[in-house]
Amino acid sequence: MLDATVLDATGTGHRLGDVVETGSVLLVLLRHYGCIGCNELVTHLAPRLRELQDLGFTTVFVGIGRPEHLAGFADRMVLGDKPVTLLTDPEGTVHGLAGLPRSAWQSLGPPSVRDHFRLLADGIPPRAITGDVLRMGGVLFLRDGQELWRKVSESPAGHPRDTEIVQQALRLAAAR
Amino acid sequence: MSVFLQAANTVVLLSFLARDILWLRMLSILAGLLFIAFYLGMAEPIWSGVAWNVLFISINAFHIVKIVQERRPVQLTDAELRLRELVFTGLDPRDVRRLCTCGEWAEHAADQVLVQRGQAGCGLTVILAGRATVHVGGESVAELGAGHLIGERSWITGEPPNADVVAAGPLRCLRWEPTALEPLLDRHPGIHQALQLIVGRDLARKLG
Repeated sequence: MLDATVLDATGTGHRLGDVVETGSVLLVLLRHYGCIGCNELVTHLAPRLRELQDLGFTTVFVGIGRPEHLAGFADRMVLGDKPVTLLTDPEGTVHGLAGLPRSAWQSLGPPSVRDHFRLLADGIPPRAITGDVLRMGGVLFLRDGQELWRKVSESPAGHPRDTEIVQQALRLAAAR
Repeated sequence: MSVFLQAANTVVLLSFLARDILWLRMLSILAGLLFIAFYLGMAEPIWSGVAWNVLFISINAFHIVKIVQERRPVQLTDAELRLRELVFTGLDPRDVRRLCTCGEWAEHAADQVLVQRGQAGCGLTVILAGRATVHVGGESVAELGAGHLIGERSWITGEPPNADVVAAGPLRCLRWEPTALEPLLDRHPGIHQALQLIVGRDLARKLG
């Protein structure tokens, strides 16, 4: 996974390992940029990125879509002034190498319908699909490139809550 | 009798215009009463219609009581106010009350052991007044005062504490058992976020 190439907003390629191999990293593998579940995760996690930074974590978001989608996503989620690195992987290679499932049932079946109803009621809108709609997302904590913790989403909004992510960050920081 | 039917439907219409759920439910009850009057006033009363409306009124009345209870202003005690001022500055008074109700206030005399090294399940404690000393291997390594947390590392990691904490004089604190705190945090993410922020700042300070 660390040898996979990811792109920044300008379309420049980077080896993922060069971004996440040093220090403590929260790596959030988003689905496509229109994903309603990812919108919820980022909405709740964005205000807490500075807390994670204070605990010594670098946060990296990698989504599935073309580089030109990144600017709109960052703008919509108000990430411009937040301590986060935004990267994209048009083919979802990183997600595949990280072992995240690709499933029509999880992406489009009843779990997805349930997620959409819940999130629409919470005021989170879905957006246009920008990449592989079948690929699931995941959240990983790495230290010096070694995986310490992961949670793989089993539906579009199956991601951990922000409190679970921060609690994990506290646990890892306390253990240092 | 059709006057009751027209009035009931007018009130239903008004309830649809209400943006506040409390008003919507109150208008629904009024409409329900008017429907009941209409059903009972018929030459042959429609009892099934009456029964359904009694059920609707009961459900709405139950929720009205809950909403009113939730909206009632919370008057914090001096101790609760002090806790909010010291630690949970941004937290809603209702959430401060929830946290206080979930924990136990305690008074400790000087030299009383608050946390013993290696003893699991020490819980999380916040000092409201007084001072405590942290001892490692018999040596005093830190002093804690009002607003400081005790046992936060154990709360985060689930491991037994690696230091003794002893009251340095008369001390007042609020202590949460892990078994009582966790369900509260699950139910109220706002409280969980506030507590994480405080513990995180404390941890970042120690790590830095």
